[in-house]
Amino acid sequence: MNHTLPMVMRNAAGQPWSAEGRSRFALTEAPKGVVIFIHGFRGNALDTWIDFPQRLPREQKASGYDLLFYGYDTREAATISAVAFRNFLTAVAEKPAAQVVNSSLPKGLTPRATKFKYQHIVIAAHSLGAVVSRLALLQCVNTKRVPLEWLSRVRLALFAPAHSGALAANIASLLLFGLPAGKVLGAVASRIYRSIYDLTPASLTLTSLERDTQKRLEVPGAAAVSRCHRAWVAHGSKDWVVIINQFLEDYQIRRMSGATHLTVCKPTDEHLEPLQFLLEVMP
Amino acid sequence: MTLVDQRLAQIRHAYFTDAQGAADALQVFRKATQRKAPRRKLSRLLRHHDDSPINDSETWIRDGFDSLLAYFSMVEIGCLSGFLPNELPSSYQALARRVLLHPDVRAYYRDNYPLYLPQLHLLRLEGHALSRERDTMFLFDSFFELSLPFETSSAVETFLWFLDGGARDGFDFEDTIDALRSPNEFLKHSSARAEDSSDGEMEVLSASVQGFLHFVEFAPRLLTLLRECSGLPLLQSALWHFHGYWFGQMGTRIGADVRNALEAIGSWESTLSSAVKRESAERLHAGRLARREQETALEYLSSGRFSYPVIEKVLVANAALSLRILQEELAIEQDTPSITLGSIHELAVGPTKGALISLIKAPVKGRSESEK
Repeated sequence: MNHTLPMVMRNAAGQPWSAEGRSRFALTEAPKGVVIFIHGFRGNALDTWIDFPQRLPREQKASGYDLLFYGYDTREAATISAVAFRNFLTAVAEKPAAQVVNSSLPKGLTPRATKFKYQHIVIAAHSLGAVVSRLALLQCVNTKRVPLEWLSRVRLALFAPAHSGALAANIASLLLFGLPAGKVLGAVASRIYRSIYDLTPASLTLTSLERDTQKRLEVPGAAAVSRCHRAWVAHGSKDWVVIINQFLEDYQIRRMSGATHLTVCKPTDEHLEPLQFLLEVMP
Repeated sequence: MTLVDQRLAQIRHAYFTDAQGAADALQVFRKATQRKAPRRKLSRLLRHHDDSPINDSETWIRDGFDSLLAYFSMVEIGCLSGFLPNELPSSYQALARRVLLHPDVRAYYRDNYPLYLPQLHLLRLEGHALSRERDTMFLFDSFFELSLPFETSSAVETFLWFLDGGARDGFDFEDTIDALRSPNEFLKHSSARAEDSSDGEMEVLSASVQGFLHFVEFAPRLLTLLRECSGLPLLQSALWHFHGYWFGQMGTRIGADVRNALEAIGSWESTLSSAVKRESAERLHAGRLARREQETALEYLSSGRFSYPVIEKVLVANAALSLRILQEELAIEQDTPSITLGSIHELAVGPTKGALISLIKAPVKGRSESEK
């Protein structure tokens, strides 16, 4: 085994980084990279990915990567969730040993050197998680609004991203064991889940996201840093929840045959494409 | 630190740091077993609830002992699956033996609330050969992750407490099932968070509803894992026993209620307009399949069909031990006869001296004729 067992992901103060957040650390002194998983609407840090936490560590390529499973409250507005995720991402990029790894490792396992940094940061996001991730990346700027240098080490792998919006009734239906919510219940759900408004096609959040990403891609002389906004994208052929279209300069969409909105990010013996897709994005 | 120490440290971390219960229980155990500690304190704490009702503070400490036993059980599964070696480090063995051999703790997991995995682990610590059937480390990995919320999630803890017949803040299992019958109530409770309340604790009914949802989603995943162990009967049985107590509760008391709750969720479909039904036919079908899978898994896991191999190992070893002791007492110089579950079947009420003597005199090597 190349990784630790799953354990609670803690910050330097010993508090959990996020709801149900878990980590699996590579059993090496200086792994070359980290994969951060971020779930979608009403997802869960680990359950969204079902077999990923077990299957990925068995892959040779993943042996040099830490695996972090981040959780957040999907009732909140996407921009608010993005602020928390940005803080986490910054900790991972700038001070991983002190702020994430050593504070989570069991006593007795060799701690990482204080100066340790990841060469590669891969964000694997599902559905609403893609919107949260993209918003967080846009927020990673210094006091002069200049994008941070470490963004050049970031790659985005998006499963069924909701960056073009979702059909409100269908996203609300995900609340109820997959049953369609109906109009009345959909309205109730919208009062509880602020993020449903964000996912309405052409919402202010999504419009600003597209506009700001476009601007970032056009910054002259910042190609390396801007590259993080070009995402690798996979969609299921049976996804009836999100709107599927090409987002700015993202790489060509990968079609996963037979996959639904929920299964597109869950590798199984019969459906290994999600795993293959992520491995291809990992440098 | 050796690789084995590192692996033990990871399991220990989950039960003693990520969840606090086992650490608290160990502290209570250490205090209670000090030389000057009042006698009978531990036996009273770990009594059967029929002897006298268990109060709230005792419940939490007893939960801690359950976690401590779960820790030893998880280590046993680690050994059976190849994540840990057959022989564990001496420092671990000393601690585990001290706890598991203590008469009051032993009475708790053997007589009051029979749990077979701690008994199986004790056999290992006592030198019984429990070799693994083949290396299945990846299964341990999956099982560990699947089982973690049972220690760390307060929602799961609340639901299991209700499943065990408990009540909290005036709510119990029946209230949980009622809340699942209405889509609005379901939505309210399933989306509640701890931060919503002023004391930072999730409302009890919401916690129980979320625990229920976790449990019914957990069941098919556990069943899949058990099926991956087909051909490894002892490991398969051990994985089941780790959660077997809850499936026992499910099977004997309230299985029908849980099935009703799942059916109630399915009945929401009837409230939809025919247009929505047409648009959503595929998703409705997927939802029905998921619920059927959950019901099947709960029924299968509650049937007890995975329980046999571990129980056999424990009962046979205990009977053999009793025989050896008796042979020594009676100074009978003869090889201890082979014991099988069949041969101790007739001693189910407990090996009486007379019955054991007759067994020594006429050793039974296989199942009895009536069982063949």
